[in-house]
Amino acid sequence: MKLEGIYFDGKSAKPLPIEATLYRDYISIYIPETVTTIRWEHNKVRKPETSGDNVILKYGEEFPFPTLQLNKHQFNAIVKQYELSHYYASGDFFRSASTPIALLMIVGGFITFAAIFYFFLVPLLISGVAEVFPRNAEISMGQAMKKNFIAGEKVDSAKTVAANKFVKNLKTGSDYPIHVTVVKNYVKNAFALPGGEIVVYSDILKDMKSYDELVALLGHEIGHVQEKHTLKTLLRNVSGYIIISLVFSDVAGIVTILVDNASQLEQLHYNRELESQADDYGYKVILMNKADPKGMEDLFKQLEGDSAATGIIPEFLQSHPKIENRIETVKERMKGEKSVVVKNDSLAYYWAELVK
Amino acid sequence: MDFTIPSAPQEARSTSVKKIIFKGKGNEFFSVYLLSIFLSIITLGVYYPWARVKILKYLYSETEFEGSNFTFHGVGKEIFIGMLKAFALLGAVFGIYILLLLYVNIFIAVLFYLVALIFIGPAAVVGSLKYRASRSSWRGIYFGYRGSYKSMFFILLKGLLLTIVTLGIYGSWFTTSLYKEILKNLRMGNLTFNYKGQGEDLFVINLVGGILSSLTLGIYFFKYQSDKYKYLAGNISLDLDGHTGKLKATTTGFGFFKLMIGNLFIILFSLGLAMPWAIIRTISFYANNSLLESTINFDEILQTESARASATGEGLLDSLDALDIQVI
Repeated sequence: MKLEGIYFDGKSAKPLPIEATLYRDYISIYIPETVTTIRWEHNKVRKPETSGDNVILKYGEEFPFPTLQLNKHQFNAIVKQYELSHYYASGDFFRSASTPIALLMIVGGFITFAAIFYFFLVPLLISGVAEVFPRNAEISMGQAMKKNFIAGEKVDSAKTVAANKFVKNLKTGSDYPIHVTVVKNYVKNAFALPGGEIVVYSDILKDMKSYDELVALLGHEIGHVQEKHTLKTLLRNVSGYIIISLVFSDVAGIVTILVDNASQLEQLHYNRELESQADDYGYKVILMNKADPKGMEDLFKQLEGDSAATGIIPEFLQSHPKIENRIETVKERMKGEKSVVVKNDSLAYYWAELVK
Repeated sequence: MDFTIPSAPQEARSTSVKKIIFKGKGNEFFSVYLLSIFLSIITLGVYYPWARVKILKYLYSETEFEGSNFTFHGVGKEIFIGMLKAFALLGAVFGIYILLLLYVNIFIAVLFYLVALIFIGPAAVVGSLKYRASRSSWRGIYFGYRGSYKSMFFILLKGLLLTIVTLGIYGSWFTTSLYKEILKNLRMGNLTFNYKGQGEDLFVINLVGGILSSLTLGIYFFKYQSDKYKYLAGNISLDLDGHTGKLKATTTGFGFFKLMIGNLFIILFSLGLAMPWAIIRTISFYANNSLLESTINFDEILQTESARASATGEGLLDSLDALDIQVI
């Protein structure tokens, strides 16, 4: 069967109408205008490319290439009929995917992948990033966040000094330099920033019965610091942005967005696992300092009563794990592990300064 | 072909009007586009060069002039290698920047970074123009870009500095010199191009457009876009052995309004998923609104370029040859 088409010799743009015949080993091209026949050996013909309604065949290794333009449908029919596998057109996979079902499948696949990516790969990526995040950068980022945050708050300088002296006498078990800032606020709250910065609201100190409660509170927050919880949670909150930033290697952008997020820090929600980890760490700090584990129980109870009264749920009292469960956990630990309680005069002294 | 009377060059010929026809369809392009993006994401960008080739091959092959389609001959592998080289180069620059920042001071570091970008920028522009031209053809006739790094370097340097110093006023002249440089060095076989626009004309269009757009709370903006496009396209001319042609844009402000607002809604309401339709609409819009008035017989174009544009040893320029910057 003869195919009508157009031949370009590669030297000019002049179109030459031709008749082409496909054989198993070659293509015969007859040019009526010049009454000549050209023979294309099949092993020198490049893979056909679809172009609109046409198929484009190029010949040879050396530039310029002669080109043959044939009707796509006629060409493909012959190729299929005689099983000329050499001429199966490439690139048709993409075009053939334009039926509605194929489109739906592509969109479905895309959404499925996006979901897997977000719920599985992103957390993996985040903990990886948090692991390799330079310590100095984490510390200076935390300091920048603190500065940003306390700009809108009243800092209690006297209590801040006392709190840091308290920390100085506390065994923290942390590699980070812990620094506390006491902020005047009627809400009972405390939260940790990356790299060792901790913010404590003055009202949470007011109703403490012993310094053991403060050890429990700081222990919990130091737990968040040591396990890089704030960094990880912040990274997750801005993960969409992070991925784009990584693609464009825009590290400065990541830091900026994290600092900008500082205003929402007191509302930062950790998940259940991270809160339990911080409680575990807090309990360890209590034991390290030979403080009374009952302080942790008292702290939870105090905050439980307060949040019931004000309706404000501080970071320290997230909805999950439930506060009753956390109290239970502390009680069981106290039963399980025998703890030695030795009064620390320095801690008691600075705590007294704090609750004055 | 339909309107021209074949005759020897240099003789008077009647002017014919020709159109570029774009036949791309949203649903076809959607699968090409989405699958490409999808594969690029799951391979963390490694597939991107091949995706780019797929997208460009589709757009070229759906563009027709005088009954023949354009062809993109790029290969994923060469763009991939070009990308690796570019990453290595930019990585080295960034590395030195960090070292200077840590061990010297921020002033020297930023200075180094800016100077490095000033030298790399023109290479990237010229490299990608050369690459793209050398991989594009029509009826087997290849495009070519013959501009030098040096002239592009001075145009970009002068343009950026003066645009900053004049608070943007020089922008119109900068655009003009860039168009002139690119078009005079572009060719398709022995067909050459030229840009005849003047900086001051473009400046007036930009000034009037800017003022009226803000006075009319943006309504005039679409007319401004149309005027600007008409001016830029209308000053592009073609030449083949003394026979000339020129582009003519038939866009209207309302046309631009429909295009831009339509695309905005398409992208917004599909959360970006319908991007391919917006791209097809845009290319169709420009193709439908462009005419070519000429006395050129396009059958007479002769092959002049070598397809191996990237095989010229020009150091840095060469290493960025396959860097395919997105210009479509």
